[in-house]
Amino acid sequence: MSIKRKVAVALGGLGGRVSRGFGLGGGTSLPGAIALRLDPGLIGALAGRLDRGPILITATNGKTTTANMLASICREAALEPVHNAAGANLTYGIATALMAAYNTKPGPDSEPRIGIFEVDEATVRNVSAQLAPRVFSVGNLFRDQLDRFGEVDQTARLIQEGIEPLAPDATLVLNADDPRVAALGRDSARPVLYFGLGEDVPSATTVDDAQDSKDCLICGEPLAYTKRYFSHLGEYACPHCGFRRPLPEVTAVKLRLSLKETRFLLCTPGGDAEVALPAPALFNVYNALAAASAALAAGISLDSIVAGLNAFSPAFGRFETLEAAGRRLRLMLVKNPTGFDQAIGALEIEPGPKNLVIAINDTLADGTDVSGLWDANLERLGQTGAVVTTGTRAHDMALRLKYAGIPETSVIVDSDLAAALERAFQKAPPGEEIFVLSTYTAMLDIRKHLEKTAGVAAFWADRGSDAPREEVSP
Amino acid sequence: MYPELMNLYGDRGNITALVQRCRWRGIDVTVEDLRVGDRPGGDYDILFIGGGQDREQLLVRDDLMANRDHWAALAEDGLVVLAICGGYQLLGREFLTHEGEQIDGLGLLDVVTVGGKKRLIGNVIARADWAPKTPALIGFENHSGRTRLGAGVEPLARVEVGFGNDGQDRTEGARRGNIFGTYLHGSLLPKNPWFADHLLESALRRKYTDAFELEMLPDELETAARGAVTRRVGEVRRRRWWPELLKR
Ligand SMILES: [Zn+2]
Repeated sequence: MSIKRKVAVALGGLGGRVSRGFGLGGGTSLPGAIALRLDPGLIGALAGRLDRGPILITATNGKTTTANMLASICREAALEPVHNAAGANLTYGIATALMAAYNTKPGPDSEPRIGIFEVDEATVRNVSAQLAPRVFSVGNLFRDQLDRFGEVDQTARLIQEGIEPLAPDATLVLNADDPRVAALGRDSARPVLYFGLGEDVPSATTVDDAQDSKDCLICGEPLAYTKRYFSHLGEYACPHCGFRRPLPEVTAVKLRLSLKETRFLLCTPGGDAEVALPAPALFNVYNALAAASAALAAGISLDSIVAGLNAFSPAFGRFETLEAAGRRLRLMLVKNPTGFDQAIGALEIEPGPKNLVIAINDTLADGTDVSGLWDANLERLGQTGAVVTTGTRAHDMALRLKYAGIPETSVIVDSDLAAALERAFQKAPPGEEIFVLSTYTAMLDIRKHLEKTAGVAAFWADRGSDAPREEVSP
Repeated sequence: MYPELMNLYGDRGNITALVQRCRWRGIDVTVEDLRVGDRPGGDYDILFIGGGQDREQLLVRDDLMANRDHWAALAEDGLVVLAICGGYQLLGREFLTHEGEQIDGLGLLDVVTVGGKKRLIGNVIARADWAPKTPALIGFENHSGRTRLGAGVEPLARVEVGFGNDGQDRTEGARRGNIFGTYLHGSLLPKNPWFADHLLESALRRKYTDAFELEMLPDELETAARGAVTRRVGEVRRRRWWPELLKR
């Protein structure tokens, strides 16, 4: 490694420590930002040193969960995952993770390293040439943070540009049920591994979710669906040009859903195995399928895959459970209409009224445009219990609920997070469960408040002083 | 119109607002979705079209143009039309893309749109001078097109915060009679109940009698939400940007 490169890595690391020392945060991205400034070729050089090569994971929804599932699988396969921190999914965050791995020298009996990089949809094309991933996974393309990218079509184009520089033998792992994603594998010269739900999974025709992709990407005619699981995911074919859902090689059948866990039979070309995934709802089955397929493409055994999925623990705000003041809180991150519909879908798994807190912030990291609230199918909340809305856009949320037909008398509005949580605790006596649907920065604030007041352990205790921070586009 | 193709940024919320504000008053209302290839009927009271992506907007344009005379006749008859973002551009005379391609619009509003490079994004507060005594319109804009108003229209509102039609002349949207075009989504009508009611009242007057008056609704939550946004917009504008950057 050249002197210049070593200096870049050292200075970057120093910058991160100084920034953290002053309480400014920046541990997950700043070192990478400094080092990349000095040495733009850094990512390629460090990624090239990974024993088992990098795997790149992108999607508009669920990439953090998928990456965490894959990391769990890798650990079961006796591999050491080099993994960018939650939210640090832009170039700087990736460089930071690689530098951290480079700065800890492997011992004589340490495990071989494998890279797992969750990458922002818009950043994919900037990093894929350098990172040279051996496996490139695209989970889904929903309408997401439109104020940042302009539109969904644009996102598909950006990912296509990220695929072009890949090595000829790099494997594409694609969701067959998402027409936008499946189209990326059409006419691909590279090997493609498709995943999707099994044939026995019923269509959810009664569910009218936020839809943003119903036209054929190839010819623009409307797609004909024979099954629809949620949003634009399902079994489809284009009557005009013949583009249709490719037959997936990795599938999930015999689904049994509960709020606590999801059981299914994972079918792969190398055999079938029963999975008990400790996370609820259909979209987590998709995340598991994406992780399992990426692991298969990286040559990991089915045994390790199943063990890794069973040992998975939900990450920050992805249905994680925590105890606070005698109540059980379930935290769900909602960053776009699809996320909202998924969270509401999960609430519907078990019937009965629920205690709800909905926290909506509109900072850059959350998305400054809150109109997505009107695309989410909040009418489905219908017979829920008390709802407390909070965050900088607490009133917009309350207004959305009013127009969704939820009685104004069962909605409490308080833009102050601490006060809102207090109100929610009053409504839900000890022993009850409270569901918290929240945007990114509001979720951070809620955790911080609970750590201070309700005896909740700091989530990031096991990761040193790094707080997760979403970056803005560089 | 075109609910799947032209529904970005919560446009559906405008339909929700119109429907609910009718139901709360006991007014019967039917929503009909018009899709590409459908034959439009003649008995509509309010027409709504939202924003779409480039590819979809072109599909919709061709379909609109196929029924051009039909829509022009209804517009002359006083049909109430609300068009947002991409829909607003399609109602105009023409659209010049960033690459220099010229696309004809429906021509219901005398406006011309030119594609721009930088997107104009952010919260908007704008005042409708043609409706004095009404509170400002509050919404969110996100568009790359720059729209210029011709002599045949007047601006929907005057921008106090935000970019508006072209980011320069401080106008927002356009109106001619009962036809309204605007860049404000967010969703527009739930947070601007007076404007929603103006559309409803105009439609009911056209349908029944000129003297039709809507009964008032308790809009406390709407008022509170408007106040919260106004405060929030002020807060964001005052906040310095660099401490945020340092933290990343
Ligand atoms: Zn087609």
